[in-house]
Amino acid sequence: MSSAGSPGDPGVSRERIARLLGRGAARAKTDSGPRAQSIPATESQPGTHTSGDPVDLEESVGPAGDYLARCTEFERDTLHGSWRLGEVDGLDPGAFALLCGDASLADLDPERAVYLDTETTGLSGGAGTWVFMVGLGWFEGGAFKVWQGFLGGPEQEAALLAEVARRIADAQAVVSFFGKSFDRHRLEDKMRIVGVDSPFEGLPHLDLYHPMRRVNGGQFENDRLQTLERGLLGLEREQDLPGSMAPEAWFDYLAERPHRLEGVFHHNLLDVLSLVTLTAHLGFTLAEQRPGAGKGGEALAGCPARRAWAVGRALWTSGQRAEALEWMGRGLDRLGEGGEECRDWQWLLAESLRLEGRVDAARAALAALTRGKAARDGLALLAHEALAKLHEHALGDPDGAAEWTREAIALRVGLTPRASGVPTPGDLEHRLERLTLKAAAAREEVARRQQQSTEHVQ
Amino acid sequence: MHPSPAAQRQSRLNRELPDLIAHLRSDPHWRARLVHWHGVEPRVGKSAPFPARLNPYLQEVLRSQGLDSLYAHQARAIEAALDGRDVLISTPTASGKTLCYTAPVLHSLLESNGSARALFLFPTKALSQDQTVGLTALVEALDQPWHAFTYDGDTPPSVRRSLRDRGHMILTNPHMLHQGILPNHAKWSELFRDLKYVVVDEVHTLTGVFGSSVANVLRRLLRIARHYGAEPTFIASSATLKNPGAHARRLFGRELEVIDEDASPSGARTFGVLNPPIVNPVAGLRANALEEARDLAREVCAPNRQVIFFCGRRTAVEVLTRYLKEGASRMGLDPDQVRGYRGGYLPDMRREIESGLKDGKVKVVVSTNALELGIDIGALDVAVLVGYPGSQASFWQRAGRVGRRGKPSLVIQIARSEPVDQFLVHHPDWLFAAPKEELAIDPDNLVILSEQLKCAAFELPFHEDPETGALKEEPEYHGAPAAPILDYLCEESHFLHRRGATWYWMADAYPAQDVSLNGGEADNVLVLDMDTGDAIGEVDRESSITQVHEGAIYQVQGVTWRIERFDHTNRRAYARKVDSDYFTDAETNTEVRVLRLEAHSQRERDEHPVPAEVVAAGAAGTSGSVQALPGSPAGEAPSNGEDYSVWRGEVHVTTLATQYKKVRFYSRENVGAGEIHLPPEELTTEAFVLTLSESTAADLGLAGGDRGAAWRGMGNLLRRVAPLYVRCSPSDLGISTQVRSPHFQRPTLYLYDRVQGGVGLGELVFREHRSLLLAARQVLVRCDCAQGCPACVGPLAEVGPLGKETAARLLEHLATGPGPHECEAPEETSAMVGETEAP
Ligand SMILES: [Zn+2]
Repeated sequence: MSSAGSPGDPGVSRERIARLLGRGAARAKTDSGPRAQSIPATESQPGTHTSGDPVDLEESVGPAGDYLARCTEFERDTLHGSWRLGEVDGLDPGAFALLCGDASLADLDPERAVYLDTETTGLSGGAGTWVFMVGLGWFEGGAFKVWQGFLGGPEQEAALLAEVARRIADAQAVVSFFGKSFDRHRLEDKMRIVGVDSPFEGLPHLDLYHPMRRVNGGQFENDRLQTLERGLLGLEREQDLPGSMAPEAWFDYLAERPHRLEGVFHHNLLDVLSLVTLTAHLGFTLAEQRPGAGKGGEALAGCPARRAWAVGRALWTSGQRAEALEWMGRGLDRLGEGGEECRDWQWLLAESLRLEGRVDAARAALAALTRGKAARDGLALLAHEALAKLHEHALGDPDGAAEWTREAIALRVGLTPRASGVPTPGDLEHRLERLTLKAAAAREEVARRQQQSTEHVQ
Repeated sequence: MHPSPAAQRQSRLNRELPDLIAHLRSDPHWRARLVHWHGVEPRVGKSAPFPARLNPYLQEVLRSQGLDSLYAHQARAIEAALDGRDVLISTPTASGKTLCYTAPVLHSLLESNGSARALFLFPTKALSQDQTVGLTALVEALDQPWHAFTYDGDTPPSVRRSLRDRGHMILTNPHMLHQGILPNHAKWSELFRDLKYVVVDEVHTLTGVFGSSVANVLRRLLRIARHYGAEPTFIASSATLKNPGAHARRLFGRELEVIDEDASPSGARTFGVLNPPIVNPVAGLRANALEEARDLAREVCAPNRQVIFFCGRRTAVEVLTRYLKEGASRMGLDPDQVRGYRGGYLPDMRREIESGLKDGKVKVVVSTNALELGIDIGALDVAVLVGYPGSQASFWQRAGRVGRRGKPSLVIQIARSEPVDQFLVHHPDWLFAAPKEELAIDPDNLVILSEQLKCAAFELPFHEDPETGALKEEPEYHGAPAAPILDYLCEESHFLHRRGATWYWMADAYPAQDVSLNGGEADNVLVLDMDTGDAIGEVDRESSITQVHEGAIYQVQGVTWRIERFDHTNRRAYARKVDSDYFTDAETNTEVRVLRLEAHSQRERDEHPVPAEVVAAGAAGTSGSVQALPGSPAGEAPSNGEDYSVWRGEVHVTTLATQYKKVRFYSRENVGAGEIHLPPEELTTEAFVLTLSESTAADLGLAGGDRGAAWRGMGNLLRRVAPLYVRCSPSDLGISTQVRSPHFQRPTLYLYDRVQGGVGLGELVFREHRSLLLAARQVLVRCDCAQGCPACVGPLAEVGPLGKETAARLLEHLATGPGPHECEAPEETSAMVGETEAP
């Protein structure tokens, strides 16, 4: 350090810095730094190392300076997995509004949307996370065009962001995968720093992640884009560079080391194309089949039971209860016996039926939950309780209610003492006591009336 | 006729404070203990009108709340802040500092129609929550749709967004600014764009590594604000300081207008200093301060007054609280009227105690320093400080908790068997004179600066001025070696990438996450339960080799654990719970090498000769084991030449743990030993160096077999009185003594800053060394022990039978006579560096 009285010493020697910082730097070095420099760069296949600039980069000059971009054009009937890009034609955007709970998507035109996917230097966010590649795709004149804006250096950031903002603002809507939570924020943060207005304000945004998860979640090992496109679109990526290696590729490029940027461009391009075909897939959810070349079309990939259930739940949330009950019932039927979610769904359906005043159907659904081998769990207990309430209030049958409660008390013994969400033994005993009194009162009333009528007859 | 015990008790409980004081002064038990009394006359406040330019509506609302005028210092501070001048209010607790910053902030909001923004930094969460409540109440009184929000670790993520977008006043702490706000400045751009005021409260707490780090966080704050077009004004507050302007300059990197005349009124105050009696004359041990506090409580606690006890440690708070609750009825109180207060209590409970103190329901509170900082608990009547809190600022903040307007108050400080406490027993005037402590802070410490530059580069790139090679348009870093460090970070750590004249952050990392404002956290060793993997404690890097080596007994809350394995590389120690009847005590070898000497002062022998009788005494003390030093046979020392020298310089310290002893609890008998095999700890830092010429050493009897122990004992005493003149804790200073240093070829004592690179302690000890020698001498002269004790040079077992006597002769000589003169600072000669360069 410098002496305490003076404001520091700009002439601090390099040796002194190395001596004092050496201790901490040894630790820091393991985190980043040059890696795998020795791999020779020969082929320009995605995923392998190349040197110098990626091919076909165009240098563009915008009002805020220059930036780099690569444009690629696809025919509408280009196959991406088993789907063609043009299959967005004829989809029902009502599915987007319903499954996202966002009315602004009800008339989204997939032909006038922009499909967005970015590559960043990290997932943690913050001002120091760079968005070094922005892939944008859109339909234009019978083709699908992908524009991949790229930072040839950090100094190009403002120019690139201005161009990205302009292109997004030109579209009628944005489509992304997890972009509402990630890509949009990285871009907006950066735009705020360099003083570019956000194009996202007021623009409908279809984020495929949540609805896809709702309709297709749980049937694959995870809900990531690559997993869904393999399972639903039949796409097998070859030589794909994992997204986690993208930052290193860009750092290598900037430091003029051999790099894998070609792989990053390819990866980003595939991501953008998958956004299109996943949009198509989601857009046919309500029809449950893709139009296809054949006569009746082709069944949609994915689990039909889960799809029907998800649609049913979404309809319930949106207030379309009659249709909701239909779809939910359909989902439960398709699931068959023994499905993992079977009992959860049965319970939700029974509750929904009860709320809709469909007493008999609710009673049947609840009764189903109290039968069979599985019927010794918390749901069975809840079903007993619900049946007791149903008998007491909707059916006016305190004896039946007391009977269900007695069974509930017996069942409660086998459950953990403090299981959350289920009634405690005390609650149940209290209920039983009350029901017994009520039943006795009812019997007395009946007896009194009988007495009266007998007297009258006499 | 004697009054009945019940009547006595009643009159004890009913007496007024002046009667209580008279009783303590006359009662034989207390008269023997309360060795010093000091009275402060009541003072009339000096008021001033509201500054004319202060928004009239704000004035009206303040008046409607019963505030008709300001204290003079408040008016000055508000005036300066309204003018856009950076200002520091350095006045005692309860002098109305809060208004000095709330008035300008609310004024700016009124005048800008709610577009202005303000950021407040408080040292603790509790304080910012407290202040948020106060500000919200004022905003309501003003009937404005503005929001004051606390932003801290407890703020749920779902709330953070609305807080960023709708918060007019954000109240947070330096850690959250560092890790949460600045790295995400884009999300906070609404705040930065219109940032008008930055309020920094209690800046005297911003010293050492923490203060030096916060100074860098403020640099980052200013460059972000500038990026969004704002030039905020600072309003800072602190306790009374020796040199507030200098501290502010280093902390904020600019001049602040200092306002340090307290114009608030105060009632009559009485201070008493209590020295517990000696219970073991041989070891020099005094009665336990906590037990004295309990006895004192029976006198001072009563239904008609509120009393606060301050303890140093959390456990002491718990123990004393329990004692006092048990004895509550004898003090005429209900046990619920006696409460403990410390960090770690739930916020709701703390709020409840605070309001209980304010409305008078709580009569007795026992607290750690948690109640030292500005939480509003109203003014109480009696404060009992169990031990000196470690700094004058803390002392006055604790004392400032008592004294209602126009009513008398009492403060009693209980001394422990510690050098500083004992110094203050004999020199109570030291407490009441002007502040004496220098604050150590060094924003340009290379380690702190480089870690903080990483965080800054993450936030915005840096540019170089091609003309000068320094940073371009970054006035905050003027004079700091920022550019060479950024280059170093590019080349060595690859976190940064330089393109042309610009340094860019280029790594998949979030640096603020790994940089702690308290320093060194990444190097801390985590102690884990071997069987469950649960963390049971943490040890800093320097202490790890002596505390968590294999075989060490590690104690947490009275539970003993044996360290089974120490993974030095991965900073993990694995422990197993054992029922140990012994603890371990590690021995270390510390080697100090001088890298560079930057300042030197020296005294000549003929300026202050050692009197003949002292020489004789020194020789007598060493008879039987006289070891003449080469070249200076005892008794023939020259009467001219060098007496002693002091130096300031950069040193390299290597600490090697060699072995450990197993020592039985209580009996302290040695029950075994073991070897320690760990790599040495290395530290490059700033040091104060004291060297004694061979002739003077011989004259003073530092020539016997015990001379090393006496020399070391004196050094330890210097280290432990350092907090009297330098704001630090003794453990912030490392010590090494050599009776014949290879570098200086004579007795040498090093006191070094224990932070890599140093944060200014070496410089301050060098500057204040005469005061420290004098204080050490006073402690030693007045200490009642026979041959050394914990309150002076250390116990007999450490310093030997002649240790105290020899140290006394050394201090008598060094602390008296003229001070050393400044010599030409030695050049950084290549020979010297070559000899000592780190490998
Ligand atoms: Zn002593």
